[in-house]
Amino acid sequence: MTCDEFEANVHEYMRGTLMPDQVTAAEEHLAECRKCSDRLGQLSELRCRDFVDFLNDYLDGELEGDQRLVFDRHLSVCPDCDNYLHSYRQTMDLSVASLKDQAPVPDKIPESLVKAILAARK
Amino acid sequence: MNGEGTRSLEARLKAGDADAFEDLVRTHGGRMRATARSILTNQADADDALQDAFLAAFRSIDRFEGRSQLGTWLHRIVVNASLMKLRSKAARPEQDFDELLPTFNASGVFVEHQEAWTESSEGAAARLELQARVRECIAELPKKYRYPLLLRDIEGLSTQQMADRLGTSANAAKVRLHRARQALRTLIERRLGRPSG
Ligand SMILES: [Zn+2]
Ligand SMILES: [Zn+2]
Repeated sequence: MTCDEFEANVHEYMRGTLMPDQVTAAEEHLAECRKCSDRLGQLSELRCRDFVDFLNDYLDGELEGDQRLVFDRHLSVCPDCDNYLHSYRQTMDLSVASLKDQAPVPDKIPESLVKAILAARK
Repeated sequence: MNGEGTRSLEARLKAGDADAFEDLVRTHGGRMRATARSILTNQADADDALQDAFLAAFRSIDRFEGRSQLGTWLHRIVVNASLMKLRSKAARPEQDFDELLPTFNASGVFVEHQEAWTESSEGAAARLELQARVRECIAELPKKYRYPLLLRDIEGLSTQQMADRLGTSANAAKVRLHRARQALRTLIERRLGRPSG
C-alpha cells in the first residue's frame, strides 16, 4: 500500500469497514511509514463521537487551551466532523431565521375573537 | 416598548386582574395573530393557534419572570402553538428521537460519511420557502427538545435561564439544546436535501 492509498482508505480503516487483506496491507504500511502513522495518530487523538458530543462547547468557545487545540487538529484532518460542524452551524442559523418575527404589521383582531379567547379562560 | 406600561400589565396579570387579560389580548393579539397567519397561511387555523396560545399564556403567566420582553415571550408561545397546529395538519407524528442523532461505531467514528451542505445563493422567495420547511422540521421535534430550542432561538435565554425554565440543571439544559439542534440538522437534511444556510 502506498501513502496515497492509505490516505484514501484511512477513514474506512478506522471505521473497520476495510476487507481483511486491505487491513493487513494498511497495517504493513503503517509499520514502516512514519508519516501515515502520525496521521492516524492525529485522527485517533479525538473520536468523532467526542467531537460531536462537545461540539456546542467548542462553538461557544468554552473549550480551553489544549482541549481546543485537539478539537482544531481533529477538524483539520476529519472531513466528516468538518462537514458536520458546518451543517450544525447552518442549522442554528436556519432555526433562528425561521422563528423570528416575520409579521411586522399586526392584524386586526375581531371583537368576536377577543370574546372567544377571554371566554375560554374561564 | 413602553416599559412602564408593560411592567404594570405584567403585575396586574399576575394578580389575576380580569381586565388585564383583556388588555393583554387587545395589546398583543393583533401582532400574534399576524405571526400565526404567517406560519399557517390559513386564517381559521391561525385563529385556532392564537386561542391556544393565549390559553397557554394565561396558564403560565406565573412563570413569566420578565427575563425577556412580554412581547417576545408571547411570540415564542404563539410560534409554538402555530407549530403544533402545523404538525397536526401535516399529520406527522413526533419522531423517534434517538433515531435522529448521529451514530458512531465502536471506535467512535461516524457510521455514515457526513457530506457538506451546498452553498448556493438564493432569492428572498426561496429563503422564505426554506424557512417554512425548517419550521415544519422544528414542529416534528418532541416537546422536550423543541422547548429549549424555542427558548434559546426566540427568547435568547442563557443556559442557566433555560435551566430555570425547564426545571433542570444547567448541564441538562445544555445537552437538551445540543440534541435538539442535532436532531433538527438530521430532519432538515432528510426533508430538504442539503440546503444552503
Ligand atoms: Zn505512508
Ligand atoms: Zn471526526
